[in-house]
Parts: sequence; structure tokens; C-alpha cells
Amino acid sequence: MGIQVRQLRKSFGGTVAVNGIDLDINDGEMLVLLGPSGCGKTTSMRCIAGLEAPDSGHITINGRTVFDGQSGTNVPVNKRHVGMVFQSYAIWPHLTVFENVSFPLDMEGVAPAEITRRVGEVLELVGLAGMDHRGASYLSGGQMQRVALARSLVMRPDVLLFDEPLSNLDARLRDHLRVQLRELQTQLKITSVYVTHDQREALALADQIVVMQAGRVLQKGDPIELYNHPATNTVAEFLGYTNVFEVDVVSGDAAGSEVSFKANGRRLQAGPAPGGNANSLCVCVRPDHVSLRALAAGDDAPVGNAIAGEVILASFLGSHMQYRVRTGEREIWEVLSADVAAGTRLGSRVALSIEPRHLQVLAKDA
Amino acid sequence: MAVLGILIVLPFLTLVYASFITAAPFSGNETAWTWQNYTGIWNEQMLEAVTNTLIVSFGGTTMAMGIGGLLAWLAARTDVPGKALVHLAGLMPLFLSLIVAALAWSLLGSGRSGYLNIILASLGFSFRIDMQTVAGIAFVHGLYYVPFPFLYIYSALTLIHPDMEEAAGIHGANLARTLGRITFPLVRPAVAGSGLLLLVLMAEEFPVPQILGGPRGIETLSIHIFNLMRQVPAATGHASAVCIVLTALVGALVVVQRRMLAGRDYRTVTGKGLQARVLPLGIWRWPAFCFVLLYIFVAMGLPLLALLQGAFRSTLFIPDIASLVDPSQFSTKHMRAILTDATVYKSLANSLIAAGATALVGGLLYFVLSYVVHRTDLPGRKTLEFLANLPLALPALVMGLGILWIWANIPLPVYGTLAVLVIAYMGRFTPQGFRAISASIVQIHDDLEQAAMVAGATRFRAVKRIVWPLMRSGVAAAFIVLFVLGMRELTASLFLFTTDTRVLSIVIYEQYENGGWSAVASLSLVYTLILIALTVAGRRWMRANV
Repeated sequence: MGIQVRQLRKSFGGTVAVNGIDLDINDGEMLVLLGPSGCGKTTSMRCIAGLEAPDSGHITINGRTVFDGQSGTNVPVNKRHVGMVFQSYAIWPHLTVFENVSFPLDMEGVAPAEITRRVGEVLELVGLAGMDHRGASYLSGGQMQRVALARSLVMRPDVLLFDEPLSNLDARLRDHLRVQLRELQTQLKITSVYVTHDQREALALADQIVVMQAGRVLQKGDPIELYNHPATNTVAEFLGYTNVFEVDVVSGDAAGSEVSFKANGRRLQAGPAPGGNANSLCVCVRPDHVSLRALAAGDDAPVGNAIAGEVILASFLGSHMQYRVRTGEREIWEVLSADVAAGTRLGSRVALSIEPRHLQVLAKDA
Repeated sequence: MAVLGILIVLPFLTLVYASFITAAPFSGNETAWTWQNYTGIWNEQMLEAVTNTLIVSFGGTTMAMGIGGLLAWLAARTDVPGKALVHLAGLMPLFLSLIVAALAWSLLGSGRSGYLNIILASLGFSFRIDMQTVAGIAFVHGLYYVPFPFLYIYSALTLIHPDMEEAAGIHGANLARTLGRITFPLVRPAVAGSGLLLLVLMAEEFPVPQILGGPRGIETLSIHIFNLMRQVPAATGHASAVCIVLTALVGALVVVQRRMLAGRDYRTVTGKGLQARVLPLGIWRWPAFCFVLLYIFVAMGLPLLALLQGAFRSTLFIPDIASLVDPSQFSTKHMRAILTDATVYKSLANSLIAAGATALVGGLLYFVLSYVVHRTDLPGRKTLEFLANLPLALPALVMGLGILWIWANIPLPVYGTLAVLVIAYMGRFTPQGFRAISASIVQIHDDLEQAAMVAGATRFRAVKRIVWPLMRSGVAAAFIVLFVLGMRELTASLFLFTTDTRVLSIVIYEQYENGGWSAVASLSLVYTLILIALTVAGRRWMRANV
């Protein structure tokens, strides 16, 4: 059961949007499609919904083939029994909250008493109880989002699709609704696909993440696995590895390696280099894996796996300090430090030290 | 597609065919292919008609753009007193059918008996106004085509985000430079677009040059075509060839217009009600207000006064200024005659039926058309869009003639009924109707409809439950626009009416041809009152959709 997508392809007038991807979504799990805009994630999801007809491939929802390029099967969108929360919410402004939410049941021909009961239930669930007869155009952004969610939940869909549903909300509301979504999804166990370009949203919501770029899948995996072990520099950058430098591996084994920066020849101890014959390699380091301490005047060569530099930006984020440190020719590091009281400020001389295992040596994407 | 073919393409092709044969098409007479029609038309008269067409179009356009642009700017961006009045001034000419305007100005400024000239003579001026000239035609054009540039430029000005102008100010530009470097370039597409539209409309205009220029034998291309058709026997071949020349001229202008607008999308924001910055006019406030009043007086006040004079005078003869206000000269007999005349009621009913049917059937057709073009990926929808805009390049006279030849010779009981008028109106107003409805369709986000389909609705039900209810006011606006356009239409009807199917505008035109000026004035007043009533009733929806 769940959803299986095989060799999905879709192009729009010569531009390939989705270039033969495979996806597997287990029953009751949430899969997040993560990638920059134009990577084909939304198109893939719209193909699952039935809003776009793929050029070729095969899509199965709960054991039912809804699209098959070879046999020409293409179940129309209104027969797929999917729910979808649109980026624009797509709340019908001329209807009330109740009329919006009851619409799918009305289409199914559910009895009126049953409709009232189920709509009431689902409005309760999303925290909109008692708003039934409010005109939809009088709702706030967050309320519209809940109505859209209720409208999709009420039909008890085989799969629930989310198209960047939080991107039009302000930051606080976004955090709040994200938690609520995760809660609802784990409680109701609805098979879901969620499209976003926000890595934090992806990590927080997903059971499985698929990172896409240029119509292809770069990597899939569960959030923790993906976050700790990105396969390439692109995936790493997408997941918040802000320090990426091209390197050559000087020497190394299964335990670790020594790398040399291509830009300026800096030598550092790093994690093990990937096997295979990747032409080009990068070290990727998360900003919270770099530790920073003040450097005495005149000390230009800190000991250990460390680099000397000058703070060129300091920005207080509340729980953390964000620093930008220039350490040499074409080499600037992003640092996130939990020690907000350190007194390091703009212009301070600092030493950055990184444990070798946190310098991940990854293949560079073409 | 087939419907549009019949409404629009077929009449045009018939005309092309007619222009290459020796007799009228489908008339049963023996015909042969010929180039004669194209070589034979280039006499002195034709060249004069081309020159006159260019003069009245360019002259009228310059004037209408000047007035319309100024009114739009005053209304959108300044603190001129009486904003509502400025709006009214910009839209008012829509109340007046051009045939009525031309007739009124003919009363005001034709020869010694023109009311204005009587006044001038009584005041001792030797200067006289002569409307029955090329300049007079251009003047009337310029006066009454103001709503087009007004609407285009006004909406462009209100769409400019005030931040853009404020940013220019912050970066050191003074008012003049902000206007010159930022504001004007942003509305340039609207200026160019409405200017070319005016050229097109004026080049094919019929009633104004016919009524003002006709008595002096001044011809523009459309008058030339009309006169060729009125000869006995009708010079159908020549008329068709001139039609093709006029179409080519108009078509070229339309192509230029589209080129200028294509790829220059200056829409800066949408959806938000922006309060644009208001410019204090200082000492110019009241002069600006006087300009608005003057325009209202010249465009509406004078003609209406002239019609009142004409309608309620017992005799047409006016010796001097004193008799203009002499109560003993007045009488309601002409008005009573008109209001008791059965043909008038018959023609009013015809007008209402034809315009109503055009609005309903046409409105539905344009809705389907817009939906297919904007909301589906059916093959050929680009062609549909092209066809829907084609009538802009087809002069009304040309369409009327084409439709005449087709339906007069097809063994279907259409010719001689109101249906043929409805067919002509529907074809002719396709661009306006299509645009008005498209404008409201594209405002409805795709997602709204797709959400309904995801929720289990078929496409038909999604349209019925979501798209249609959301568009209701947009569609209503389009209906009203079509209805008013149908009520005003004269040109295409000229070849198509029969004794039983005369519409109001035709009856007025016939009275004019017979020289019944009192009846003309009375009828025009009634006609204008009806149009004003309709426009006021629909005004709520009119603004964005003309």
C-alpha cells in the first residue's frame, strides 16, 4: 500500500520538469520533497494529484494504478480521492467555512446529517470549532490554512498533499502550525506528500525526505540520516551546511583523511574521503560544528585542527550568535556559537577549531 | 471555433471573394475572376477618402488623447476639486451615441442656421463655426472618444505602486523628474495602446463623417464604401475592394498596437487597493477644475441643449438669438408625435430584443471562449484567441456587408429577421465581450478550481459551483457592456435591417436622411435618455470593463 511512483517524466514545451524519478511512500508516513524552486517537486506532486498529466511513468495509490503511461491509464483528479492543501490555500471566497469544508462530502453525495457531523468533527480537530458560518473571505491567513486543511481531512483521503502550505504565513504562525501539522499527521496517520524549499520544515515534518534538483532525485532518506550524512555538496548545502570548500585529498584511509584547500592550499584533518572515483571533492561543515575562541595578539598559528581569522560579522540570534570569519584568501566561515556571552565582536581575532569527523568530505555535484 | 468561424471569418472571406469577382457574390449572376476591382478604385475620390480618413483619425486621436490623458491624470493623481465630477467627465461621452453626437453638432455648427453661429452673429462676431468639414469631424471624434484613453491611462496610473514614485523622490528626483523618468514611462503602454485603438476606431467610424461630411460630399473610406454600395447598380466589386483596403489599413494599426504592448508588461502590483500619492496643484487647482467643467459643457451640455432646442421648437427657422429663447416658438408637438408613433415603439422593442439577445447569447459564447482560452490546454486555443480579437481589425461596415451577402443568399430564414442583426452584433462585439469576461476569469486563481476538482468535483461541477459564482459580477458587467453596445450600434445594421427590423439608431438615421430634423432631435433625446438610464443602472460594473 502507500504510494509508488516509477520513472515519472514530465516536460513543459521542451523544458524537462521531472526527469524520471522514483518515489515510495509508506502507509501513514509523510514524505517531504525538498529542493529549490524549479526543481520539479511541485510538478511531481501535481502529477500524483492528477492536476498534471505526466509524459510517462507509473503512479499507484493504495494499490490502485492511477496513472500508467504505457496503458494510457489516467484517473481524473476528481476520482483519485486525494486531499490537497494549496500554497494559496484556495479557499473559495464566496462560501462560508462550513460550505468550504463540506464541499468534498457534497461531491461524494454524503447524507446531510453525516456531513454536519463530520465537518463539525474536523473543524474541532483543526481548532476552528464554532466558526462554521463565518464568510471565508473574512478569515486570517492562519485560519484559511486551517480551513484548507480541514477541507482536505474531511474526505478522509487516500493521500494528503501539501504544496508549500506554510510559506505565506509569518514566522511565528509558521512555527506554530508546523508543530500542529506534525502532531495531526502522526495522530491520524494519513499518507502524505509535502513539498517545500525550507529545510527546517522538511526536517521537522518528514518521515522520509527526498532532495530534488533539476527534475532528479539527489538523495533520499530519513531526516536524521540525511542531515548527518548528505551524499553530495548540493544536498549538504540544502540542509544547512553553510561552509563548503573545494579540496584535494592529500592522503587518507577509512578512519580519516588530510585535505588541501584548492583556493589557498590550507591543510586540515578531515573525515574519510568517499570511495569511488569522484572527480571533484568538497569539505562541508555545519556552522554549529565550528567552535570559536579568542586568539591572543600575535598568535597566528593556533594548534590542532584550527584556523586563525578575523570576525567580519557578528549577529545575535537569541539562543545563538552568528559569526562570519575571514580566514584567508577566498575563505570565509560561517559559525553558529551557543556561547552568546563570549564577548567576541566585530574585528576580534579568533581561532576556529573543527573536529576532523565534522569536516565531511563529499563528492561535488556537476 | 466553428461558431467564431461563422460569425467572424466567413463574412470576411466572403468580402475577399467579392473583391475579386465581377458581380455581387452568391447573387446567381454570372461572375468571373478579376483584378479590375483593385485597379479601378484608385480615382481622385478614393485618394481624397484615404487622406480624409487619415486626417480625421490622427486629428481626433490627438485631441481625445490630450483630453483623456489630462482628465485621467487629474482624477488619479491630483487634488483637483470634485474628483467624482472628473470621473464622470471621463466616462460621460459613453452616454451619447455617436450618431446623436454628430446630429447635435450638426444642429450646433452647420452653416448660418447652426445655433452657435446664430449666437455668434447676434453678438456681432464675424467668426463662424463650420462643423461640416474634415476638421469638424475630427473635432467630434476627439470630443467623444475620450473615455478610451481616460480608462486605460487612469487604471495604469492607479496601478503604479506609490512606493515607486516615492523611491524616486528619496533617490533625489524632484516632481518633474519623477513624472518624466518614472510615472510617464510606466503608463506609456497604456498611452500607446489607447492611442492606437483610437486610430483604429476612428479610421472605420461611420456615423460621424456621414452625418457631418455627407451633406458636403466629404468622404472617408467607410463613407466611400457606403456610397459605392448605394449607387444604382451597386458597385459591389469596388466596394469590397475598398473594404479590403480599409481592413488592411486598420489591420496594420492593430498589429502595431499589439507589437507595442507585447512583451512590455508593466503591471506592477495587483489586488491591493493602493492609495496613490496625491499631488497638490496649488494655484492650478481651479483652472484645472474649470477645464473639466468646460469639457463637460462642450461635450454634453451644448449637444443636449441643441437637441432640446431642436426637439421642442415649432419651426426650424431661427432668425436671431432672441428667438432661441422665445417661449412662443416652443411646442411639444414633435415630441408628442414621436411618442405616439408606433414605428418608434416597434424600433425600440427591436433594439431591446437585439441588444438583449446579443448580451445573453453572446455573453454565454464569450464565457465558453474565455474559459477554453484561459483554463484549458486544448489545442487551438491560441487560434481561438486570435479569432476573438480579429473583429478589431474588421470595420463594422465590412462585417455588415459580408454578413449581408452570406445570409441574404443562404436558404435559411435568418435574413430579414432580428437574428441577422444579433449575428452581426455578436461577431462585432466579440473582442469587447471576450476581454471583459477574460478579465474576470483570470482574476480567479487556478487553485480555486483545482481545489474543487481535487475535492472530487468534475470540471463541469467545479465551474458551476466555484468559477461561475465567483465571476457573477464580472459576467453581469460584460452583459451590460454588450447590451449598451448593442443599443448604440448603427453601422453594421445599415446593410442588414429591413422594414420590420429597424432598430432605434436606424430610425434616427432614416429621419436624418429625410431631413426631419425635429423628429431627429426628439428621437435623439429619447434615445440618449434610454442610454443614460442603462448606463447609470450598470455603472457600478462598468468602470473596469469598457
